[in-house]
Amino acid sequence: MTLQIVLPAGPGHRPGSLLRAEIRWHYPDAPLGGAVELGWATAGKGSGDTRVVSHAELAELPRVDQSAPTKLQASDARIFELRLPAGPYSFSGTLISLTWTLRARLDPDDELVTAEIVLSPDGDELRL
Amino acid sequence: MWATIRERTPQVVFSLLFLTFGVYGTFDSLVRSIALSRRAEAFVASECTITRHEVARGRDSDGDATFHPVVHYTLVVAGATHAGKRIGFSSTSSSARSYADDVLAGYPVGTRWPCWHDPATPSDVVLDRSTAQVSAFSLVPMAFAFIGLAVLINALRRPRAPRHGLAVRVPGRRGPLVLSTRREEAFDLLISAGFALPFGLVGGASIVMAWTSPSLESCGAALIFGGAGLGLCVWFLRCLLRVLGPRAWLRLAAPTVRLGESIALDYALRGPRLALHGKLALVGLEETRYTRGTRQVTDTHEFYNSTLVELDSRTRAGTVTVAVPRRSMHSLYAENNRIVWVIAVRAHVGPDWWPDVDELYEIAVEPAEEPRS
Repeated sequence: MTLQIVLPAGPGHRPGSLLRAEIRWHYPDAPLGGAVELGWATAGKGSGDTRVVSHAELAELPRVDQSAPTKLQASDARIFELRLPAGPYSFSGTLISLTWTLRARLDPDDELVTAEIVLSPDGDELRL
Repeated sequence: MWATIRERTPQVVFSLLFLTFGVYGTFDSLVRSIALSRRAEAFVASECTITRHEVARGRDSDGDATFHPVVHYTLVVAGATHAGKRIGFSSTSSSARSYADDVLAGYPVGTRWPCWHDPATPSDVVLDRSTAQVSAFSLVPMAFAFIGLAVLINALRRPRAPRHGLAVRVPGRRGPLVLSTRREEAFDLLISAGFALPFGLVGGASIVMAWTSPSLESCGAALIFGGAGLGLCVWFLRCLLRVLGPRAWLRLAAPTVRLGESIALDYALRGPRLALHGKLALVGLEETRYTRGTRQVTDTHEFYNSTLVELDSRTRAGTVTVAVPRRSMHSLYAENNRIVWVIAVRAHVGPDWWPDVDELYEIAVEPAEEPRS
């Protein structure tokens, strides 16, 4: 049983660029549903902030082999594509750090996998 | 405006209650004080004979014993003898018995003292017709008015545009932007006045009491209330001097600036031409908020600081170029975490006792412009 996110271009992305991620899984049975979402969260000394920027149902995403979206299969792979926003950048400061995360979930077992995205002008996390 | 009032109803109601009570209370007590002063001036001077003393016991709001000096005396008007027992128009009691004893010691039994009486009602008589104490304490309700006004101004202040996420360039808004300071000066001044007025009066009174009749209790009270009153009065004076002192006026050539861009900033120091030395700087701040116990705490860390211009008594106005670094973090407005860019104006003002200028003017920094692909 595996669930994974593949980022063909790696984790570093520039603002406004196209994020392309493949969500692949192999299970004995077909999942009942699932979703993928992209968001950012802060961490550090203070209370955290989170924001979901995009949410999509896996069943509505195209297959990697370009066939039309259908019911989820036991072994499947879907493509999530999104034009990234201008910010906020991924950064790490003394009090605050901000990370972008792509999260995929499969029902009914709430299987979860995450992949960190770095959003910045040069694809590297900013250090303040 | 109405939307703001609806949104901040508890604040507005609280402030209006305080303001109404403060204005009415101040007006009422001032009217009474003026009426009392006029009445006192109409009193006729005569001479009274002190017949006996007593220390009246009472209880304060905490249930502790208080002592109030009472002087019994007589005066003769047109052949008729009248009795009186008031020292002045206001009465003072203290938790220190020694205070009452000291006051009474000033009026030895059997001696004759000047006194003043109402010519129409000679039994309405006092040994001291000063109304200064009554007039001073009639100002106490003004504290409520100050606090109410401060909270009302704060509640009705035009809310800043809700900012979440990023600084964005609003289409059509291209002109220069006069920056406003992050410090709420009017609020600080009114709140400090609201606290300094009653605590200053109580502190002053407790110091006078300790001075005239020193005892362990009166000195302790003077130390606590006098210290608090003095501290609050100093706070108020510093707020007042800050409002009256030199202040910066800043105008940015555009409402927002991108990372990596340069923009013109006009600056001028206004207010009294006091000697000063300081600087204007572009500063980047991390601000994070969290709850510690029941308090909300905000921690700040400076991650960027670049001097724009040195300020002194001669350099009080001009234009500088603000160059925002390209490889840095843009403004970020989240609920608990913020990246804030400010123009910091920090200057030491000539007389050492004058509060320094220390103001932050926020600017909105957008992400860098991405090269077209």
